Amino acid sequence: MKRSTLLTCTILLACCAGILTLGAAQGPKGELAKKYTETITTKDGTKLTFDMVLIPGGTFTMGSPAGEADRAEHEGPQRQVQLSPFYLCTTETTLELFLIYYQETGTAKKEFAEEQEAELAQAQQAAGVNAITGPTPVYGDMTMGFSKKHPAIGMTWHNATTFCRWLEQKTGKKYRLPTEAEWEYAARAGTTSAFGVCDTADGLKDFAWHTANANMEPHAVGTRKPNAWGLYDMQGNVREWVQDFYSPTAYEEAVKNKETANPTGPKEGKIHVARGGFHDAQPGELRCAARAFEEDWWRMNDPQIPKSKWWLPQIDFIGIRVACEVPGNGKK
Amino acid sequence: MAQAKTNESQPGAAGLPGTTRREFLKTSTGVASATVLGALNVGLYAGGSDIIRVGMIGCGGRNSGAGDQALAADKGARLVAMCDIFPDRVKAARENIRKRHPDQVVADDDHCFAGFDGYRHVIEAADVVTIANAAKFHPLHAWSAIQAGKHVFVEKPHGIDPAGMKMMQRAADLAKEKGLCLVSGLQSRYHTGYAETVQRVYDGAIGEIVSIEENFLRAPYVIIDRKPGLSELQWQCSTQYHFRWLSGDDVPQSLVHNLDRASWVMHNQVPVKCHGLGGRSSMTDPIYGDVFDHHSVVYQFANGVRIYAFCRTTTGCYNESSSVIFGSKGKADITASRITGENPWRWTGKCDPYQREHNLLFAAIRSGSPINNGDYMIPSTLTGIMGQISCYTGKEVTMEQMKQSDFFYPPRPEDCRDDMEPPVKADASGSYPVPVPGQTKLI
Repeated sequence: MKRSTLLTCTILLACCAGILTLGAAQGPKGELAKKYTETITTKDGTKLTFDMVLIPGGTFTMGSPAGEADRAEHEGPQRQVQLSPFYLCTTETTLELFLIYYQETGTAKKEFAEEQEAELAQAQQAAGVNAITGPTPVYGDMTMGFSKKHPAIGMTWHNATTFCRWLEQKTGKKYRLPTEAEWEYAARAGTTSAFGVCDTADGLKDFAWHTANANMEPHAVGTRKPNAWGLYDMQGNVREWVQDFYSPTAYEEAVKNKETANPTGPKEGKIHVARGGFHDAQPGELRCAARAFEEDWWRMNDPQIPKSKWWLPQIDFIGIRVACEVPGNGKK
Repeated sequence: MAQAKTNESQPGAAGLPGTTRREFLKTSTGVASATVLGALNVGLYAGGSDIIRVGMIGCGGRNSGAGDQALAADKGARLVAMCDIFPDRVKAARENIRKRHPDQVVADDDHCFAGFDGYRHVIEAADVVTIANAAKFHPLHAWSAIQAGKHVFVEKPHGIDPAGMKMMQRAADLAKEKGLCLVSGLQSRYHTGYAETVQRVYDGAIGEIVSIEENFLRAPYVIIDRKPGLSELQWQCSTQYHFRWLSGDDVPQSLVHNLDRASWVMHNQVPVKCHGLGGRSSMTDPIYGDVFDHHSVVYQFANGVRIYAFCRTTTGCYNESSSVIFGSKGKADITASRITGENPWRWTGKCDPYQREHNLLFAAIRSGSPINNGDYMIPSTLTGIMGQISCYTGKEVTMEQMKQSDFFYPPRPEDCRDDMEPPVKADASGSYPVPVPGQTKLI
């Protein structure tokens, strides 16, 4: 798509979506806004907001040092990573917003054959329709009994990225999952300690829902203290999908390939990385450098074959936090 | 849910001890002989002695899952035959399972069957069958397999009408007599967290049970486009959840899990009567067939305890999936495996009940100590059917009436033919007739 077309679409979409805040746009002097509030207007006119904060560009040390307690081998070697500025949501995406996405894009139609789906996508593209086909019905109850202000949970990575495309279509802004490097940079928020928000595991209670305080279930987003950059629940509550494929040797490869600026992880893979601790995690899993990744058993409550590409039924510890490109940033 | 890895032990595929092996051969009448294995390309098997032949009746998503779980449960299990109404679903299922168990899928094209009679061939070729297709056929297929001396895993519901449940009862009785396994897809009973919660309720953690609330409020069943070239019969079969004569509708289909848990926590008592309300509010397009989209049923046990049970399949509405037991000293939420009140507690383990039921099934086949779930799978399904009939007729329905009734949704499953006309037809506007509470008579 040509840039001019993209711009037109963006403006049109922004108007259609009824965006009131244009905070992500550059200020009068070309400076990036420090933060902005995104407003999503649903098809029936309800408005929902979430806050985005500017994560300044910079350089940080990614990964954990050899001596760090609870460290896993795949967290190293440490390396310097340089990042361009981006916006990151101050909270995990709520069930309330995810339910709207589900209702506006969900399909009750079953795709028996992959080809059928591909044909449909092709036909839509040919007709100039950029319709997003969202999730199929969840097996059971997507909310798992939690409130609207709790984090959205139990979506696959594919579902999470489709959600970002929907946000992009709604707002005209380039929403996406953060990269693994961006996530860790934001979690560290300029600090160098293992936990980012505090020096010892005892201090985590104030900042993170985890095994010591969460009673083994997720809590409403933003109900602990934020980190130095105003981000809530980075360390706890639910894990968060990031863009990167998982590889245990990803950091070694990155060093070998001299990927220092805006790294996006392995080019290929089958499973993705999830970052941050969760409500039943031990402090060691709340370290900024700790890496988790999709495991087979995350799909064990889906009794069908093939397994749903949209849902991880009853998996209440995986969620999303959205990032957004700054205007004019061409990087993916 | 805790993150610890599952330690569920997988019953191994170690060679069968002599006596057990003999028991196994005896119960699998006339099929586990070398001759028959030979007919199935025995060259693929390591001697054939520790092989359990699995047949799949139904090749949709759920039975593909069950077939996968069967092969995962036992290294000696081989998928030898499969059937479905639709040949393309058979092939798709075979490929999907082969991706996960490349060495255990041996069903060749000659052992892939299509049409209403395919089940006969699958039963003939297998030692154990997994049955997950339109629930109308579950009793017939289970009964036929047990008669032929085969072990059975069958999905819920275990029938859709009183006549079908009588046939399933005969199957359960005969399985006991023959020493065959009959394992139910009511997987709650195989969930270790649910089991521990129920045990705590038995032990008095919430005092006396006062009432039970059951919810299965969720998104609609998948809609399947009517492809050109499909006959009316094929169309209805392809979207079976939306036709009463095939699926029995949502109370037996979905709420049966909840009703099974409610009965379980009441020491397997069965409600004596119920009254239900139901209808179609939003899913009225012909693509939704002739089923209701919401139901509420109040059940009553002999001691007066009631179950307030709700199910709905709509978009844009409140969703909840729960089994909440209210007691004099607290509350138990079985699906969350959690107790609140005077004795708060929460289960912290992890369990894959779908895999566990197959692990136990194959272990039972190997050890010669059969599992028979007839004692709860039939009453729980009948409870679901009772509620459904009450919603359709608008009348109070008693369990005694259900037991006396010979009602069935025509045609009988054994009379279904690939070239028959379906029993329900759309009117001039394309809509299918639906029950009218107060007017419809079924039993």
